[in-house]
Amino acid sequence: MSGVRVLVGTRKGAFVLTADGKREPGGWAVSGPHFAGWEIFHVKGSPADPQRLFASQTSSWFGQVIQRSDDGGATWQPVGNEFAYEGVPGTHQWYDGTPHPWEFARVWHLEPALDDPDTVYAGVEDAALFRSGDGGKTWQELAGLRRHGSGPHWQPGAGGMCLHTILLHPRDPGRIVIAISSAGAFRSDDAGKSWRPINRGLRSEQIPDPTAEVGHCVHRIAMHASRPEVLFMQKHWDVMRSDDGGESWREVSGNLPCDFGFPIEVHAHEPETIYVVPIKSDSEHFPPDGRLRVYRSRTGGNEWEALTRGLPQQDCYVNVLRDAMAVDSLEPCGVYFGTTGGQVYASPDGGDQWAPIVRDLPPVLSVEVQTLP
Amino acid sequence: MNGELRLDVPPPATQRTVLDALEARHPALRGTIRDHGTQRRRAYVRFFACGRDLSHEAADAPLPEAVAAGAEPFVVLGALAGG
Repeated sequence: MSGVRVLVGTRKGAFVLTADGKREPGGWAVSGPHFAGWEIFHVKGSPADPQRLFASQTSSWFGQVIQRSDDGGATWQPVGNEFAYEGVPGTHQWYDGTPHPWEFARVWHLEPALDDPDTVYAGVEDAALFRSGDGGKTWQELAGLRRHGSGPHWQPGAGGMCLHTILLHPRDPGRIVIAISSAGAFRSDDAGKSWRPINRGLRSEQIPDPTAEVGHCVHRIAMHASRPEVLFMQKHWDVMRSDDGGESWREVSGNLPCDFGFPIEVHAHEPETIYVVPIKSDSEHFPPDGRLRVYRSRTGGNEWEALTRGLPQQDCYVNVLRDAMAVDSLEPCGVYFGTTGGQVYASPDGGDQWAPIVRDLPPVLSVEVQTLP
Repeated sequence: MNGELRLDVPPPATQRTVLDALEARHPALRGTIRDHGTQRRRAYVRFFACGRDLSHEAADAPLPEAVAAGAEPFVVLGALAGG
């Protein structure tokens, strides 16, 4: 019977949540904490081999470790953790606008290749993209991103200058879209050798030139595999949409109660159905009115409906971070998200009804889901 | 990793030679005690021996004789902190 495996990264370890295809409350098994006590920024499985998982373990004490599992998370082994910028790293801008040398801090996001379990991409802080072709043992920077020209003008967001989104085109192996806080979105059409900013149409009042080529605090971009030219973006403020692979963007915040937020996701079977979690503001990182609401648009933006059944509708002041939402590909589509309060919520029916799988984990940093045969 | 590990270290016994031997035995520790590129001690890692904090000693300075002789441990630990 088909099932799902939800991979959860938290401030104090990783957890693996499994259920059969019904995904009913009470039908979940919880495994973990794996790497207890360690900060796990992200865990993701290979589409080419679902038993192969990669995890980013990071700590201020002992730095970066990449963990790999070849048995679906039952056992793990550390692989390579050397992320060396190519050549002389140079400088980006610090918060105060002064030049600051590029320094590796941690891996925010791991994106396994679609067709090869040994190939995986890593988005790191300070922002750069790395690739491994040997299952994570060694890492090489795709330095054309940092060197395409605008790098010296990039500035960190409040959480650090992180490369947090990596979208691999399902049919064109040359096309990669990435996003950096707070530099913006960038695209390569030659498998990562050369890059250019794709931020036309974004407007950010917090920077000197609101429509600058770079400097936008993009929080997340999502794409549906059947229609990879269409991109959906949750920016610091504003929900945006592109119908031309990022060449131009338009705002689709519509009737959202607030257009600040972090994650954005696309329904597995309906490419015009998207999900966001509105957050009150950049200084008040919690849901408006203390009500945790996922908003769903079935029209690719602009017209949104609140999804509240099973979610706390009073006194809720958690946040949902950018990598902490995911969808499965069962029928009906399941939607999952984790909170900084340690809850992981699941909806087995596309968002109509929600229930917590777990309530009391450490703060959740990331949620991914694998649909198993 | 916790606990005590005995390492054969060719003389001279220094922070560098001890950590080189440790990382040769356990390659997964590379980059977790010292930075990969600069080989400098990570900021929240400390080195103690014989009741002294050796964290700020030069990497090539000789370790105390009791450590070199295997009578006292060279302690690598994470700084006490919350979080």
